Amino acid sequence: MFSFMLPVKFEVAVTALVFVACNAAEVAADYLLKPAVDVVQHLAFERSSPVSPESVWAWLTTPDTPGHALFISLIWLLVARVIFGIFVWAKTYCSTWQSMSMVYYMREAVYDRLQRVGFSFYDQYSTGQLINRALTDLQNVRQFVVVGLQSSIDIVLTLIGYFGLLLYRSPTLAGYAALSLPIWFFTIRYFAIKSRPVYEAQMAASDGMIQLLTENIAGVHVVRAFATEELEKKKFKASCETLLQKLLDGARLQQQMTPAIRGIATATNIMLFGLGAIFVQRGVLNLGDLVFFGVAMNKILTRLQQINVISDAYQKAVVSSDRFFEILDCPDATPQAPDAMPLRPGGGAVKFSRVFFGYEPGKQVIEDISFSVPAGSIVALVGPTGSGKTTLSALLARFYDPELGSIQIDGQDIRDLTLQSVRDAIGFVFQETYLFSDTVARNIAYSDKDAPLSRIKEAARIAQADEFIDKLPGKYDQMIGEYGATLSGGQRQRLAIARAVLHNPRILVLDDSLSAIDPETEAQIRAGLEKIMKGRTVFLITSRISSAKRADHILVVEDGKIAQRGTHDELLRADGYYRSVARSQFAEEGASHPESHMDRLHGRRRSRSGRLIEQ
Amino acid sequence: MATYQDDDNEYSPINAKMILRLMSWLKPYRWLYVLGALSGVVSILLELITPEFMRRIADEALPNRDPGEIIRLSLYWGGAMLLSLLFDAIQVGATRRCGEKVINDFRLAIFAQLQRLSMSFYDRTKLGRIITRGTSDMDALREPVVSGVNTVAFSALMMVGAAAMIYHTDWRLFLAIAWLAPVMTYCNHIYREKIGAQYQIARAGYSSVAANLAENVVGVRVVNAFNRQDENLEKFNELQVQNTRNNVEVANISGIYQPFLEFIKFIGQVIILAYGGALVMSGKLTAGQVIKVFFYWDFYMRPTINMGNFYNVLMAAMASCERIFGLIDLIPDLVDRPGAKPLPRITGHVVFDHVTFGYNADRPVLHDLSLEIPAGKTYALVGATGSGKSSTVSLLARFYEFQNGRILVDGQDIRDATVESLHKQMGLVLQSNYLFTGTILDNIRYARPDSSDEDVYAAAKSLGLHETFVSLADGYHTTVGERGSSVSLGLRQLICFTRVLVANPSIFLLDEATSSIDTVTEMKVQTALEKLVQGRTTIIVAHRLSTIVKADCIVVLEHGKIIEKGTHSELVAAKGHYANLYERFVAQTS
Repeated sequence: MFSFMLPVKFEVAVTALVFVACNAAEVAADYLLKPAVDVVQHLAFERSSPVSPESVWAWLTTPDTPGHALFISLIWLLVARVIFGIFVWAKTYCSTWQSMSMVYYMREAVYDRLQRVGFSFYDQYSTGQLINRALTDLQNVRQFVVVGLQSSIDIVLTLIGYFGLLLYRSPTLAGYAALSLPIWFFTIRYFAIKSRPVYEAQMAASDGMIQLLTENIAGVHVVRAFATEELEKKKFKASCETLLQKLLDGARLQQQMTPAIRGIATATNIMLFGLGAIFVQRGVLNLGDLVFFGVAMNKILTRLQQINVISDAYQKAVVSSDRFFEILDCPDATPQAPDAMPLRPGGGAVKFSRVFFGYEPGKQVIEDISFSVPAGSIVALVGPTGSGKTTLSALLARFYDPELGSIQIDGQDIRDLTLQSVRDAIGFVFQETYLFSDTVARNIAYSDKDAPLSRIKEAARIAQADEFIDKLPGKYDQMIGEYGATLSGGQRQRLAIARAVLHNPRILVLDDSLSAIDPETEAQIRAGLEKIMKGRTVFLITSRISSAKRADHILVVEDGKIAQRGTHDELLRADGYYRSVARSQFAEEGASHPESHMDRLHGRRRSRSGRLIEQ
Repeated sequence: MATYQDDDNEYSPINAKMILRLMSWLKPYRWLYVLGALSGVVSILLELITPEFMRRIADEALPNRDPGEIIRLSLYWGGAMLLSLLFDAIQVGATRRCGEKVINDFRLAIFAQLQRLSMSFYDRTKLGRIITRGTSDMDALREPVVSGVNTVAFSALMMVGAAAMIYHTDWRLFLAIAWLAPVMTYCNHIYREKIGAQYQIARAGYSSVAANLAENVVGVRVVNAFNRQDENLEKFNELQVQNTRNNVEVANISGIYQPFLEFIKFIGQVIILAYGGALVMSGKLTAGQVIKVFFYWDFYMRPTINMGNFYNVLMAAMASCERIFGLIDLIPDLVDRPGAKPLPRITGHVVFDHVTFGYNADRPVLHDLSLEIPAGKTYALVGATGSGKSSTVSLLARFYEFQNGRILVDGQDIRDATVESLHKQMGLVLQSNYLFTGTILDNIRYARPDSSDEDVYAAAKSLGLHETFVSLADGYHTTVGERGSSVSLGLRQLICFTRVLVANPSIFLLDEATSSIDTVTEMKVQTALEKLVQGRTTIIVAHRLSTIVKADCIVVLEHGKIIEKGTHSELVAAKGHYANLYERFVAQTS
């Protein structure tokens, strides 16, 4: 866990020095109380020379009098307090500076790792979990460094400083004081051990409550449709009741702990004060030492109360840093070869040779898939959900590496190429449209932030997005995403298509990405894409036969294998998945399809069919 | 109609009206709360008398050189302190109990409100935002509710008490340090303003770091596909640098303030010791009295130092409070009409009578739609995306309020019936096929939790699905839902169908899944569906030809209007839109 500190060695060293200096100044400032009090005591017992309040100043400044001694010691005290104050400020400042610098490097590291770690990592964890790790877990580690580590140092320094001085002034009294420390320590430990299961139970109860809440909201249609609102309320109430009980258990524990710990502190202090008073009375100790004793014990006991907090923070930080390192230590799923070359220019011919792949060992998603697509063709991948269509496209972009077999783009094995050049060559429109909270223009120009507006507009036009963009209040500068304009599913898909168009790829992958777009627009988008993708390759992943039928080649993927391949007409003649689905899918989109587009597209496809080279 | 402000203000100014409203939630627990408040007062009063024992030790016991007296006074002192701690513990316990109970009440109120709010609320509001109301907003409220008012009141009591005691002990010493109080109040004011503003800046900065990170994680596929890693990291680090700077600035301000207060305290101590010493010298005061004032000064300063950051906690709580009350005050757009009656058991005769509806009133999705569905019949809705099929189903389920026309069930306007009684007789399966975390058994009897295992088995058997469920790894006890995501789409749909059969509604609404499932499961779905529609009015948003052909009536929708209606053979014979569609479909698929 402490390896987090390595990049901030300098900051840590400076902070440590400031801590030592600050504690030394604190002890010194408190110890300087002693001479002042000694003078007061001297005056109180001697009652030697009464002064009138009017001559206080003269009394304080006449050399070689008790008044002067008091004055001098007060000035020293003042200087010490000012220095101490400056150090306290420096301590707060350094502690934040050091911990924030550490957080900076940690966050940078995790951010970059998350960007490059490969998608298999993302399949294991929900995005919520990952965000939590990078934010909450990191906060826990920082919390430990600030509260835990720095407080520990503080405690040790305080103990050494004050106790050393106590021992020096009065070993007997220091001995008595030391007696209370084990009692104190074990009480805190007792409560820490006792509270852990209570906290864990609280966390579990809270998770249960949140899960009920989440599911109730996510499944709101079901709740309403079956009129189970009352039932849901009852369930939620029961879960809240449990949580409340656990919270009250925690409150009860704290209710016991706080007075116990403070009681011990108070009892110790008063005992020592009483003892000290007796010592003073016997003349073994002077009042100044007694006051210093009081102050010192107070400081030591206050600091020791933090042990509880530290052990809590430590427990949390250990768990958090483990989870954090799980991300940082995760190796690249698709490492780039040391001698990787950029992809040579080409038209986007793709060849899969005997490819095997599974997200988890033992669960094959892709089994022995081979096919070859010449540059410039339109390929449709069809098949039931979960059959492996999307996985094939992910393998092509090297989001994952196959277990066996090889994939080539324009005759080059993608594992011999730089990742950047492979991904530059492929434009993706994903199944789930993801747009960033940014302007329309910057979302479209995501792959090339310096793209001129004319190119952005051209891409939008091809994606049939220009019309609705022009109707947005801010047009191309309109913010979208969480805090911006809300777009319909079809509009979002069109922006994603524009983004891929601007990327200017030699291979375009459309993963079920026209589902929310009405048929007329779809036809227009297809026409536009066709023009710009002339001589390049398009992969069309779809479950709609009506979309697939326009492709040059259709690959039917079932259970990770290619079950059928051919053109629409060929596949309809063969008995199999394609025909049965084609017959069951009375696709809605046909309902308002203008004849001209359908026929034009359909005719064109037919004329270009039959170029799939079977292996 | 109330609009729901879904902003994410981190801090809000302290608002007395809001605090009063918050306090009104304490009403059910007022006696416990009063007990806590009284214990707190007793605890403070006990603490306030302890310096007197110190004075007596210094003034009486020490000069008399009487160890017995010292021990006796120390014991009194310790006794008072321990009693004070005890009362403090009672105070903390009582207020905390009240606080947790109030928070619990809030949670239940929010949940109850969520059950009342209409679908349009859920369309507008993100899931994460709603959940925040029940989680982190509650946490933000906890501290002020649990200890807020008390912290302020007790601090004030402590300060007034300590000041009074100083005055009572010696008015000259009182005057000598009294001027520090206004100085401190003024500095406190400046500090609060500065740190408050800086905290807000820091929070906002952190939010953008978090938002950027979250966006990148969620959109990681896009990031990778478009090679944006380096630029993104650069942008992220810019945000981080700003975040670090903001936090260091907060540390800078709070780092100055704390030692400043300590310094003020010290100045007071010096004045007390120096001037007090002089007064002792002149015989106007005893050493014990000076010690006593010294301790009261400490009592006075302690709450001041602790209060510094409480202000921020309070501002954060105010923001949460605003959001929570905003949600609770929201009036659902769709509530039972006054005098709405529960529907009797219906046969399922459905009439849409000139219904016009738009999610946004200016842009109607359904135009003057009229449709009669006799009880027990199956109607298939066919049309392009956005033609109004799903809206038709949603309106019958009364998820939205329509602008014009009537919808009748068994001759009764659904708006005159209670929503609950309508829903009780209605079964719904959506494309998402939502399942709750739990076993298959739990999910099937979701609507009828009192039904026995045998009822569930019987339902599954009658749909021909019993074997399918039994053959799973844990049979009916297989866990499904969010955590059991390995359940295939087809199986989810089969579970949903069985769930509807157990609920046994008179009207069944189905939004058929568009994505294709494997052939074997597809067969099961079709067989189960055929059995499920028997004897109940069924409306299907249909995508599959097999479903459409079997329907008693096919309704073709275009742009929110019915353009054709009839059985498959009627429509094909009519040579209209549907026939055209079908012909082309046949031509392409054979």
